[in-house]
Amino acid sequence: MIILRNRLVVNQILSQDLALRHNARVLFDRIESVQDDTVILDFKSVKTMTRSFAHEYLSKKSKSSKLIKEVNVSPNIRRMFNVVDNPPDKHKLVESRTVAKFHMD
Amino acid sequence: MLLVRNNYAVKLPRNSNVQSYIEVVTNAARFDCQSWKKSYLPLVPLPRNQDEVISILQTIYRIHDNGRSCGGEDAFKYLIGELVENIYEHSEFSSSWVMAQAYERGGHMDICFFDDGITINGCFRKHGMGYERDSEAIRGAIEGVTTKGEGRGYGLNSNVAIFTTGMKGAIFIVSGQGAVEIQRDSFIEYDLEKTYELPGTLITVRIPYPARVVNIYDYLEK
Repeated sequence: MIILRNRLVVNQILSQDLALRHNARVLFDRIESVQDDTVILDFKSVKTMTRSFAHEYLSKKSKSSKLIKEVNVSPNIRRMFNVVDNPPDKHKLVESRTVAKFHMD
Repeated sequence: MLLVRNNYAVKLPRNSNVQSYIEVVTNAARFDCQSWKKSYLPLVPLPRNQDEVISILQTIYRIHDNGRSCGGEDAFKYLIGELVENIYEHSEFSSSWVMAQAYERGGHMDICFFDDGITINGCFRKHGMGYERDSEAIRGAIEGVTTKGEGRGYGLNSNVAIFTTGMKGAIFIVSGQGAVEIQRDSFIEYDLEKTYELPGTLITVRIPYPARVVNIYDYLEK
């Protein structure tokens, strides 16, 4: 098996379930430590990703000096990236509900 | 009678049943046990060092069969991940805890997070965005008001939508002198006096158990 020095496997660095902005920053520390200008980031076996992780990842990616090529990105992970790229309006969670207020003393 | 867990001393009540319950749910020693298949997650501290959180989250997922009975894998892991994110991003806690319990006969599951941090309104105040009442601050956080700028403020907002509309569950948030209870059709704010003030933030979620699989993208996309 050929191991490419510029290929990072996300599942091996973090886990199959990607959560927390901190972990996105940890991932980028690894990416920036690669000597090549191009980094192949392998999302094989990654099952889930939170919006916060995706937001931090894309934010870091936009500022990175590396050319990052993502491979083996599953449809639901791709979809989460799209959620961040196309942010929806926030849910109007109060307007749509019956509101009551109480004072406890 | 005092019970010492994780360097904390808990004064136990007289009732022996309650004593037994507290002794069981605060015993995190079995948390790492690979064969853990109980219906509850004991009170587990979240580490200050975020590098250690992955293993805690993976254990929570494993204990709950990767969320298959809790709204599905995508939803369960998204919800837990974003709630834990909020604690680390905003609370500045010294101690933070999580526990969960499924009540199969009652048909529901409770998941509870607590941190002893600066409270939701304390976080807004720190950024010059404080509210007059703590309950208003909780409402603001739920509606997506953020101290972090564009593209942020979706975590709690989407979580509440998924928990209450998607899973038909309920959320109760207490922070400082405010509290909010949200269900699918109702939103109740409580203003608490000093007597009931919580020095930190508690978020407790009740979802049907088993909960039907929820497609999180119904609540995350335009």
